[in-house]
Amino acid sequence: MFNSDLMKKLSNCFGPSGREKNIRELITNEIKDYADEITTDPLGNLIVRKKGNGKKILFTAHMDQIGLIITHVDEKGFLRFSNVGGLKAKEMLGLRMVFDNGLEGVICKEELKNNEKLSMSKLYIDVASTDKEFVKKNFRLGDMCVFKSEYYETEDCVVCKAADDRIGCYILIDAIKNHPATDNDVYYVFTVQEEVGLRGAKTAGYSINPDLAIAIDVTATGDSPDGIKMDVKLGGGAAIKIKDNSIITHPEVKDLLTYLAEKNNIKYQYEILEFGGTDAGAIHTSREGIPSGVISIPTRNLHTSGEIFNKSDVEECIKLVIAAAQ
Amino acid sequence: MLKEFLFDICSEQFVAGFEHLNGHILTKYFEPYTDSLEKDNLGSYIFKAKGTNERKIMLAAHIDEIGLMVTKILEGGFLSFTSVGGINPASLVAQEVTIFGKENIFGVIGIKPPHVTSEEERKKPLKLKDLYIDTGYTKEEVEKIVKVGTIATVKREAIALQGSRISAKALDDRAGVAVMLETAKELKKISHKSNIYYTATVQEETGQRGAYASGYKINPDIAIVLEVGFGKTPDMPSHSPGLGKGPIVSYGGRFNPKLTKKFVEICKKYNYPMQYEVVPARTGTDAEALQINREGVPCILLSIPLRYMHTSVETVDLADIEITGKAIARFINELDNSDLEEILCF
Repeated sequence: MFNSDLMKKLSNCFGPSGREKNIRELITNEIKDYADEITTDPLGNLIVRKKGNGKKILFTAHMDQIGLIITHVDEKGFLRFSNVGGLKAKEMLGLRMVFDNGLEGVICKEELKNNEKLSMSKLYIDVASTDKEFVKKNFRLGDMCVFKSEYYETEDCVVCKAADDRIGCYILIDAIKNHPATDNDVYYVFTVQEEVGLRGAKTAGYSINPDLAIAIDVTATGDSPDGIKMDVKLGGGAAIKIKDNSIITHPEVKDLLTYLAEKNNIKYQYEILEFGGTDAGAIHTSREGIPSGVISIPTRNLHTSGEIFNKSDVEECIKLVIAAAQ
Repeated sequence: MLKEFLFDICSEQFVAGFEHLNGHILTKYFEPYTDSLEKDNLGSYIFKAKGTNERKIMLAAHIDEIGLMVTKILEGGFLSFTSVGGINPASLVAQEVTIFGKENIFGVIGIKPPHVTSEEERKKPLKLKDLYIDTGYTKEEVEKIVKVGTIATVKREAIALQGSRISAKALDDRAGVAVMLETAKELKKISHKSNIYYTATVQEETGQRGAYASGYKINPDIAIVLEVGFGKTPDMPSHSPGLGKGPIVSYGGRFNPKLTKKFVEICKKYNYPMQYEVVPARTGTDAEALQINREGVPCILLSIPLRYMHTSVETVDLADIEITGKAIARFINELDNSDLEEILCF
């Protein structure tokens, strides 16, 4: 059964890269009764351990989300900004944004003749206040904001912001609660700063130094009208990554995940993403090299306020994570 | 023997991420000159020749090559693909390919007839997503052999051109691996005190990923990176390095200036020809990963001049490989008899 309440909480929790405090607390509360050991490392990664004497296995899902950072508050009370993670100017216009303090703003543009040339320097946030003192007091350089959008679901799919990668967090939380009987020493890590360059995973991979690492993250799909040429689709099951721009999955890891999926009747599909990367990219080059792979959740409209994924795919991913932990 | 090695190794596939399948060829050639073979967790081949002191010198050349990867099986049995590493789509048109599926099968990459290609279409640069592989099989037949993620390479036997030049696929960077083999042969003759690690690294073409792991594992005192450089052709800048004129010595932020200077001195002393290039910032070589390994590793970069990089007709001069291999052996010999700290000290 899909836990809509949990997903809604995860999606709505404020946590752009570098500001993961709230989401870390939320996840900690969810899993604290199920873990053998919970630590937070110097960069802020949340490390949840289920102890064992066998092989060290690392699962990661990043808890940060894309957002914007205020670079300048002008005299009239309008905010200029830069992106935190992959966001394009063209896709921002008109978006509602929300700050950590609950205040909101709308992304607007200067008067331009040619919208094709829209760049971030021509955009600003209007925080809907004519009171300059109020703006000055409540919005400061360095403040971050994220999309404001409503969670919505249908019989089989979910629409929400930050499914990248809160759905990965959802999967790991479920896996922790249903951790299988095993000798393996399993680390479930909720990483920080993935969206700005896989930074949390880099240090987590180094400190844990596992025998096997698997990242859980979203991937694009090829099933939308005139979309990218890609063989991944919603409802096609857990996606086992073959390659993206950060990693070529270790052949033995790919074979292991395929074997586990087939043995346990888990619906799966192979995935090649011709852009982007995941935590596994940073982990696999750590130390003497760490055999790594990725289990992906097929998701449409990545990095928008309306990311769409399929609930049955999530179930298949959870089964595959649990099978791998065992 | 150098030519034999290159003909053998270039005709096999070592596509980035899939270098574990044909390692026996490397073993066959390196085993007589080295003491042990170890692999790191990402699969790089590390052949060690033991020395008599504690010093560790790493030679690194990447064994991986660029390749193709099937992304989708289309109606009619056509295969869409992406590249593993950087490929100019134009270089793939009208090529024959080998697909490494459940069994090896051949295919061709075609292009629309000129008669039905509009003026506008002709002006647009060709993209990988516009190309596909045709094996002759129907969709149902090809699905039994090929899956999403199956790799392919251009099918190309190495050929001897006139003189000492050869043309083959994947001379980037098998030419560098061949330099290591030449050095190994030479050092076996004149002996060495340092421990030498001949490292055939993996996944360089996708971001120097293998070198991170092997560098960490070996933890060398210095590293000599062997690559290929842009050889001169009529359409390249006039100052490009020429074939047959010796290794290209790189100057730039990635390389230890004193170690580089020492190598140049040795070349001059023994009358080995060489050429220079300046790479101020990113080099796109294993030196990227090795220089910042652990506490930092002094690196030098030597490149074999090569024409038509990242096509299936990469061309080198065997003389350059021989000279470079010998010069490195002399260089190591001199380092063995000097105080390395003094050389490296700024």
